[in-house]
Amino acid sequence: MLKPFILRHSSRSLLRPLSAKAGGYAPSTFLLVQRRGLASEAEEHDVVVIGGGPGGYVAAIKAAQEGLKTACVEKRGSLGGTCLNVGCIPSKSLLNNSHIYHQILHDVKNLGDVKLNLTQMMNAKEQSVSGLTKGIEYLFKKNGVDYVKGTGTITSEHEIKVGPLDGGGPQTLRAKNIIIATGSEATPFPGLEIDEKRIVTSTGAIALTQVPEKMVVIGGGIIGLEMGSVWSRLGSDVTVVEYLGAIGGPGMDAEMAKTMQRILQKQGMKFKLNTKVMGGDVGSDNIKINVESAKGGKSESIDADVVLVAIGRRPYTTGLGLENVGIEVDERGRIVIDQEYRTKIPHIRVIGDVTFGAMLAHKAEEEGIAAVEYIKKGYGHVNYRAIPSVMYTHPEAAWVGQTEQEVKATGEAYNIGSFPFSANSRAKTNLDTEGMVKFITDKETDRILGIHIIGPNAGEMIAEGVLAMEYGASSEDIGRTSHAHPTLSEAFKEAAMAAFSKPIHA
Amino acid sequence: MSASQALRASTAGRTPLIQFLGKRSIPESIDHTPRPHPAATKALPNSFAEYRKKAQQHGPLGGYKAATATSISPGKGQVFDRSELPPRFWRLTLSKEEMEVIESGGAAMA
Repeated sequence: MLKPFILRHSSRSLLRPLSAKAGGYAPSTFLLVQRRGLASEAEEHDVVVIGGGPGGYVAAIKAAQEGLKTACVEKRGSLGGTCLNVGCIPSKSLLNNSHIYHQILHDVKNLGDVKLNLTQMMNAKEQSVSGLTKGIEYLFKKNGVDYVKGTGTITSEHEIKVGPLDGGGPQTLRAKNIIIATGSEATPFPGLEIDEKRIVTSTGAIALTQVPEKMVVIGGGIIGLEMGSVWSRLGSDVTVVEYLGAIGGPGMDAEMAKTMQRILQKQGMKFKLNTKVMGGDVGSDNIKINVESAKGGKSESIDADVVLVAIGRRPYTTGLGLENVGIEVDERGRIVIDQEYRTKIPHIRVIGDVTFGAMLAHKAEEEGIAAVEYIKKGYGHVNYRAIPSVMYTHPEAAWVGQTEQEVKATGEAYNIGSFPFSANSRAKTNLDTEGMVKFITDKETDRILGIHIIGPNAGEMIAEGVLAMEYGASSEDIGRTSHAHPTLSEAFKEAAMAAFSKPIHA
Repeated sequence: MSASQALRASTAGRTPLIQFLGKRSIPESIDHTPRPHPAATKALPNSFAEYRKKAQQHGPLGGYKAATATSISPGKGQVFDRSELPPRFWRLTLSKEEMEVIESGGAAMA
């Protein structure tokens, strides 16, 4: 930054040859600062990525693949960010294994005993996480990304000070471009102090050492329902308290949210909707969560051994040094960027949870690729109207595009086509028939506006819907595309047929 | 008959909405003027545009290649004279507490 600034915009010579006469050169005070901080000599990179989560590590690998000299700074001690270490991946391991346990438990109810080995279940989770994080380290080596372990702080427009994890002096990295990908952290609940043992966020909820007898989940969004499902299957009495009138968060279609709630209730979870948490009393034996109706009035107290706070996540910028370069955040703490992920300092870009948009790992990955393409080629692409969401309960819920309530609010005429898994041959043979597929299409053009699925393997099935939306497909395009028999995907085809014509099997 | 001709003949009766777009290419003209991010709910703050007017980087906004951009380090045999740079690059002032720590020889301060 310094050199071009000087060359273009100053008539005074700020760059002086070392051979200049002594009177024209004073020893650089920068050296004194360096000595005081014990910083090592700055190393210059084309791109330095701060944060090694799904957005950051993908951006780093892509940048290296594009021929840019790249470093990735990560302070956790292992790559993969929240997603791999304490989020999506470990929770999927627990969801998978708790589902198997639950299924066997019920299948052999009258045949024999099934016992839970929670320690072994946690070990399986650790193995999955460890294998995947080491896999990213391997990819860094393979692609020539410099992996710098430590806390990255932006000290000037082109410099990042990295405080190492293992003691020693800080290291300074110099970068032509900086990509911030520091992610998010769980939003705390005022008045409930998180100890990750009894009052937990998702991080503590994936590492409980015993199955709590009673669990209260504050927040009925995706994280709360997934983790509530895990512990419910393992034997906890789980109560979900949600301030809004529906579960699944604001992105979930209202009809699907109701269906999902009914299914989870059948599985044993309890729900208190339109209910606000007023506070909690943490005793030595148990915790009392005080709630009352969101519309005022009736209050009560719910007992719990463990309370999961899952009211959302907030951008994580602690220690990043944004104030050192004057980068702004909005009222929700998200770093302000333009359409090319640039902050007001154009060579500092931001991707993932720490800026605008849905807090989803795959959205961050797309942005990581696009940000690097903007640096390298001046052009990138992310279609924010075709980012899927998946909730990994059983059955899974998945959706892409607009909800029915959103389409209705636009005032445009639309068609609905739906098909239940109870009429799908493969779901019937699998004895797994709960849920449905729902298409929302434009009445005039038949273009798909949204697809919502509850059912076995919904998270995989939604990929076909995302591709269709990316291409601007009609429901007829899908309805006329051959889907193998007998597969769950036939339900997808038949729902599309229901949108523009009629399904065959319902 | 070639495979593509056979494919075209077999779907002759109907034109699907999904169209083959051809190989993707970078548009010839791209407007790099800062605009609000598509997932943002508000306009860019005024300070953003104001700062951008004087913001510097290597080459024009957006369309430059990082790998070939000018180095940000001083050339061989050249140094930056810090006193002529903005104040944030100047020597940090020692606080009284810092001086005490240094003078104590690293002993723990109460």
